[in-house]
Amino acid sequence: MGSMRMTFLLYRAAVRGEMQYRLNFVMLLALGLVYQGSGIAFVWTVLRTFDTIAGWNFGELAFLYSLRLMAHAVWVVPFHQLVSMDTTIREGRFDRYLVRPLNPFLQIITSRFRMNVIGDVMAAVILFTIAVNLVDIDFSPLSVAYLVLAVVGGALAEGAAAVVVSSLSFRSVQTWAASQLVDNIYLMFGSYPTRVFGGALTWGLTWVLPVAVVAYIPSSVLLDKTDSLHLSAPAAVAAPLIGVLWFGAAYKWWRVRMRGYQSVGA
Amino acid sequence: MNAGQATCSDGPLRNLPAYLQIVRGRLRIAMTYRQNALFMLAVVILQIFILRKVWTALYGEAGVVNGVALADVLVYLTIANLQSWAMQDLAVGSYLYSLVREGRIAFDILRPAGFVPQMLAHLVGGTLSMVLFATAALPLVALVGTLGPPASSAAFGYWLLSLFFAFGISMLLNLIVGLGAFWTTEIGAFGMLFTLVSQFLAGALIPLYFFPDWLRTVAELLPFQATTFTPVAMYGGQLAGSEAVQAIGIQLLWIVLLAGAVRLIWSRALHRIVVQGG
Repeated sequence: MGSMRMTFLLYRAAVRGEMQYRLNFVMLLALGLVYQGSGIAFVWTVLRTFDTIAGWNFGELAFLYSLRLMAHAVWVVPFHQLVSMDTTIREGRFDRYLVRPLNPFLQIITSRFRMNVIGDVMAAVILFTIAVNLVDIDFSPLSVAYLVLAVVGGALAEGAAAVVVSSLSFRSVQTWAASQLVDNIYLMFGSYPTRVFGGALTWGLTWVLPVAVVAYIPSSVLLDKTDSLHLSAPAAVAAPLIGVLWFGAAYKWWRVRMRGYQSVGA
Repeated sequence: MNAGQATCSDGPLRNLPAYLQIVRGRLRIAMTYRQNALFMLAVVILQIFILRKVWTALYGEAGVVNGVALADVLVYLTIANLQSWAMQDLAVGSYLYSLVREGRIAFDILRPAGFVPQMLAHLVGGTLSMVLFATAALPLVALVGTLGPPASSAAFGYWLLSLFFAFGISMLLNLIVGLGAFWTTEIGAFGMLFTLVSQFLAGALIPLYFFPDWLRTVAELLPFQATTFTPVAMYGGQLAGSEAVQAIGIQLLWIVLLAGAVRLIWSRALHRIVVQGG
């Protein structure tokens, strides 16, 4: 419990620090909104001419997109600082984390707070509100529970990839580009029904890099579209667990890599 | 006339060697940081791939929509994205911001060569290096996206001419974004916003003939479409004949307007520096 409280206090300090720059805060907020909203603007515009993308209409695509945004927000709000772990290591600040009595992983993620993630959260909430009004989903307690599980599973699926990439920086590798690339892959491939990318890639985006489990599979389940999936219906329902398993494995891997850490000697 | 003056020729081209030196410097910087450029290129190539797949799914069974075949749209998207990537050089913008923030700008202004031409030389060098990277990536792009020959030799000619003007418009737009450094000290968020919005309105993700009418009107009133849609639609033959001539006229009009805007912004910016410098 001590480390829980400590983590919370560190977050609060990081947010307070960031609030000092008000204009930048507004700009970053707008950036988060536009950046996350630009994909759905594309979908909306092309669907003025066309009816569907691979059988998905605008409401369904907006729902899929908002599910990805929510999973992304749940991941990115607490954990986004992992992206700058390579800088932390290069500048020798990681040594300090090792001698303090709190898990180094928790210290990294609370080191700073970047305000554009608030824009990400707002985009997610706004689009989800719009999307649920466009689609026909029966919100029974069971489907709400599944929705929560799907968002958490999706967040962990995206997080697993980010954790693995950040672990590379223990061996003095610059990971900025790699983590941006992973971020872009989740953003770009995760926003559409995965099957438009073809069979082989759909398989890879399910089992190797778990992108399809973030939004495509769970929204197929909730929208009752599982018959066009590449998985059987029960497997699709269980898909959020893939994210949980991947994240557990990724975190274990991160701890193992940390033992190989060598200080830059700052 | 004494000998000293005779050695340095007058006229607008007297600073040309200095500008060439800047262009060369930019190319060297790009080569040193090539990993950065290669990563950015990887993202564009992914985007081209995804656009191909999504547009193929959109067309589905339909062969021709709004009078355009799927294959033509795919060639359009491939060229448009590669081209707009090469012209969106934010590196010079960030360079300008760091100059202003750290006060080093005084040295650039004191040089005998004009400051705006110096920045244009930076932009030419930056874009030239991006074009080199994009050209080197062509085989991979052909594999991931769709490349095809131009609609006709006239279409190719129009494309080349229009591409030249598109390059001019892009540079002026990038310069205007960079000159924002005199009013605010942070470019990161604004630069990305600019890139996102301008890419969309330039027609890099959706050709303008698939925009709803009101959005097409908005896009046509802005300069962005003249950087991407105009040349690439000429390449594919969707923009030909008198329409193509008119589109090139609009490009020239934008160059004049934007150059005027740069002049105006620069004179105000210079005034601000004088005030700040005390």
